[in-house]
Amino acid sequence: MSEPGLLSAEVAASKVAAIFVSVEGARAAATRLRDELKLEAAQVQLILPGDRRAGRRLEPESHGIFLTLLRAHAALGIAGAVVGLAVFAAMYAFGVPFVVASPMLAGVAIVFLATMAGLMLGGLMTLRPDHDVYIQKVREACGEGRSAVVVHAYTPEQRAQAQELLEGASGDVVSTF
Amino acid sequence: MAIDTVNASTGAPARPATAPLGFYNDRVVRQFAVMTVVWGIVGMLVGVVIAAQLYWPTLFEGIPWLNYGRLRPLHTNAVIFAFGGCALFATSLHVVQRTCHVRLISDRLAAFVFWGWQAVIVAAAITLPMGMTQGKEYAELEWPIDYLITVVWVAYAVLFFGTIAKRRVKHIYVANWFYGAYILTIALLHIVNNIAIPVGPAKSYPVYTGAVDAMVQWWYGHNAVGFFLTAGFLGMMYYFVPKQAGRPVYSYRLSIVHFWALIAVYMWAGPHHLQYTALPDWAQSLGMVFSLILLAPSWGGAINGVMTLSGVWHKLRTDPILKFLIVALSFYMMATFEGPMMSIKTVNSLSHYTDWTVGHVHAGALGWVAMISIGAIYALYPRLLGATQMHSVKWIDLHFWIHTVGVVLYIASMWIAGVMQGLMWRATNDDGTLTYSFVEALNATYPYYLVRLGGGLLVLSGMGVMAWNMWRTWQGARVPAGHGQPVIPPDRSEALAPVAARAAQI
Repeated sequence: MSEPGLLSAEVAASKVAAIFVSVEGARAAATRLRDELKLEAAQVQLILPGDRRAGRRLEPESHGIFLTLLRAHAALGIAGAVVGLAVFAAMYAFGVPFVVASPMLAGVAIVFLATMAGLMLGGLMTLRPDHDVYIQKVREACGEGRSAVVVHAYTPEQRAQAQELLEGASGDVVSTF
Repeated sequence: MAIDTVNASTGAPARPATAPLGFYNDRVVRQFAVMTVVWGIVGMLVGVVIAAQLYWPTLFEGIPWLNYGRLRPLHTNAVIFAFGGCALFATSLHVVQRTCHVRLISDRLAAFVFWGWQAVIVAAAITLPMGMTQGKEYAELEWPIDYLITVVWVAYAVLFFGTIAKRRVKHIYVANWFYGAYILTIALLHIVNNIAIPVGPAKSYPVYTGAVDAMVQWWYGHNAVGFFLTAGFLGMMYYFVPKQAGRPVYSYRLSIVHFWALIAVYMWAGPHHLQYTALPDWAQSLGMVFSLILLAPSWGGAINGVMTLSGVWHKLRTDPILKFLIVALSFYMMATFEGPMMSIKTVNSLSHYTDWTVGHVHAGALGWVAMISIGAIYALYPRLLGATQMHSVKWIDLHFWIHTVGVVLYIASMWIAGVMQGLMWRATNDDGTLTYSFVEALNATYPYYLVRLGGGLLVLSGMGVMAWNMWRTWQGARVPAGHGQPVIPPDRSEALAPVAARAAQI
């Protein structure tokens, strides 16, 4: 199990998914993943057509996502403020006339806007746009009657190994960062 | 229940031909939902044109009705009252029927409200480019159109409150409180701010003068933001976020506190639009103080909405409609933090008359209002057609990202341009002369106008994606024209006594 990072509170932030035409093929691949890569049962999810819990299987760490939301916003908001302060200090040091003329207001405005930018980056980290293709592909395939095997990898190595195995078994594989 | 049709493309539950409690009036909701997108495209297209004119000032030079001064009010009226207005009509008439478990009181009145509001919009689209205006921001329309607005709005109020009066449940759900406050307050604001003396069919003069006129105008202007663009859309939030998340509102008690606190405080914040003007100083300070207090209910309500996802946070990634709804709330939090900050007199001395205000307004308009509306329309539209979801969920996700990137580009460019303008305008040399000429400040902000245009184009293209998705959903659903979805009987514990007795017989 990986340790949550500074921004993400999820233990398995990387995902790999493979699409299978038959349920049997998907089951066989899931078994191989557990046996050959020694993945935990919860790390390998099988999503069948019409699965009403597909969303949870794709993103099982609901509370982790909430903690990521808090952590990413706090960390990147503070980072934004620090960057804003540095930008203000640099502009003041270089003698930019409009900053030197109103240092207090310039400082407040620049730090405020940089903090906002940091918070928006926090939102981006929470939403994880790199997961979109993975989610859409599995959803679409299952809607069309195919099945999917999803791997929640703890480490980049685990993700790479799972991807290699699934590419050999399915050929139609998608992964996140 | 008899069955009369089956959804061919989605395989959704079939539509019953009869229902014990009748059918909802989904026709008017569908009409308003479609027009939300149509007017959204028109209003945002005009916004893109005027953004282009700010970068290429000679664009359409010599054509009076395409002049910036005439198109700008057309843009604001189209996006606020046509796009935002149709979204509010669609969702309020949907929500009041679903939460009261009853059909609207009158189909004819509903049709009158729809066609009357479209007539107002068309009248605005004709008269504003012709240069007919009262010259009052967000209240530009001349007196004959103001009369029409009043009649349509009263009809809307009768339709909405009449439906609440004949509800089948004891409780009035909180979303209807917000919608109700928006309907009543807009009636009051519109009438008071538009009292004028007509001097011809297309010209009138306000009865107010000087500082009083300014105060009335910004009492109207700010509360149009507070009740049209906030309370109404909070009603939308309180229905569609729980509905889409499949969870109850995080704290119903907080939602009631949110309601009373918001409507009690908003009314007093208007003077912050008139800092450092001829308005009495005490009134300016009062506006600032109430704006700062407003932060509490605004954030309380937004947190209540976001925390509704408790237990289903995964949907923030797997459901693009919820992405629209929740990111809308995050932009709402951003704008409602920024607004009180900008109302502080010291900060206002920097931000006023700069593009920072434009950025702030669009964080609210494109981030909050547009995103919550788009999310709500995506949530309700397929249900009105008996489908389980939109034609393409992938295209909703694509729309979400195009829109989000567009909004971020827009507001970030205006923030930087605005702060720079404010700082350059106030910079002075040791001898007291200005460090920068006005043109130098304008020149410095020029590149950001191009970025703003790019952001606007992205938002507009997103609306194109939405229109295509809605068209394909409609094609696939093949909804019969006759009636809407059957009225759902209320839970017996919630039902009013006669309905409970009837429900027991069914």
